[in-house]
Amino acid sequence: MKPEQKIVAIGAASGVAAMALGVWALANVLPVPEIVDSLGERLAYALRANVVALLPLFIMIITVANSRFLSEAIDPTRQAESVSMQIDGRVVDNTLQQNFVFAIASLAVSTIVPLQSLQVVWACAIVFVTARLVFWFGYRLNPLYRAPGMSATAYLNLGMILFLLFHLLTR
Amino acid sequence: MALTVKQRGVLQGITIGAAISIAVIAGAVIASPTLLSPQAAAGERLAFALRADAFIGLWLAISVGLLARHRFFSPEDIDGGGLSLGTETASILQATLQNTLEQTVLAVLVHLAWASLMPVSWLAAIPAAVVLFLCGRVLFVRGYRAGAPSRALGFALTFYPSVLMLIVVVGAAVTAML
Repeated sequence: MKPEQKIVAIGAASGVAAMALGVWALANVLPVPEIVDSLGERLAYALRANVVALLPLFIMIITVANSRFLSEAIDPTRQAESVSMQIDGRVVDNTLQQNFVFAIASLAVSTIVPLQSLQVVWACAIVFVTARLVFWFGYRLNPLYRAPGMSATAYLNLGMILFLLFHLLTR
Repeated sequence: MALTVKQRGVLQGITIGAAISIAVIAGAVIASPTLLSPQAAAGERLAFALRADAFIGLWLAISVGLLARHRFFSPEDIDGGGLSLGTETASILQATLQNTLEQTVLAVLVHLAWASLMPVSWLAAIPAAVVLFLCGRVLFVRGYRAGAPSRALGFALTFYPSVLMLIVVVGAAVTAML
């Protein structure tokens, strides 16, 4: 394995481990939701968490817009973006993809987990937001350092989807 | 206007895709298997659509993963798209991911609208559309390198079920408002 691959592999593995630990710890610390156990209430509960999960994407879009406003890249057709602006653009693209998977997965998961464990949706949202910020700052610092945030979000989404598919196929 | 060979290939692919889409979606609606209680509330309908759409979410996650995996094993691409022009494989994976994201957003929104507006007996169209979506994506990715005609059928099987359902659901929404 080359040194760059080692950095990415270690970063990705630590990101996945931190994500799993974070979700587990937060799910145990956060209060059990005091809602009526209906699918509509569960979806509304998960939608609120999804609004928080959208915050990094919103901040990223605002950052790109402000960077454009304050530079020659105000006209996107000039292709005058700095390296940091190009990175921010990529981060926005990737975050949009991850946010959409997160929205589908977390809403679907909220319909199947026991009510006393429903706070896991908020735990996932908090970890998602943290991981996206780690991805962004890591990418800015050194592109190889994007691995922890990237893997934490991707495997968080994958975990939720696999949990859901397991439930659907085995119930 | 005479069509080029490529244009004829694309036209053939999207025509077959559109015909299959109409047949499968209409078939699911006509067959109307009992998947939910006729008295199902909005929450149950939306949950039904979301559970079916988890498979679409899985495909999007796999698309993200394929690009990430390629970047990890490619020294030219490991720095990410923000700092490198990208090899041909990275560009293709990026293009298919972008197209998959666009199709996923459209499909999921249409499925949720369908679940909330259409009769319960019509909800079988959602899993049918999900199956078409997944088949279409596999064909699209497999055919991408070979050019537009090779990916046309895959694109059509992903896109036309969403368009067909969107037209029906918008019609239902307008009718409900009148």
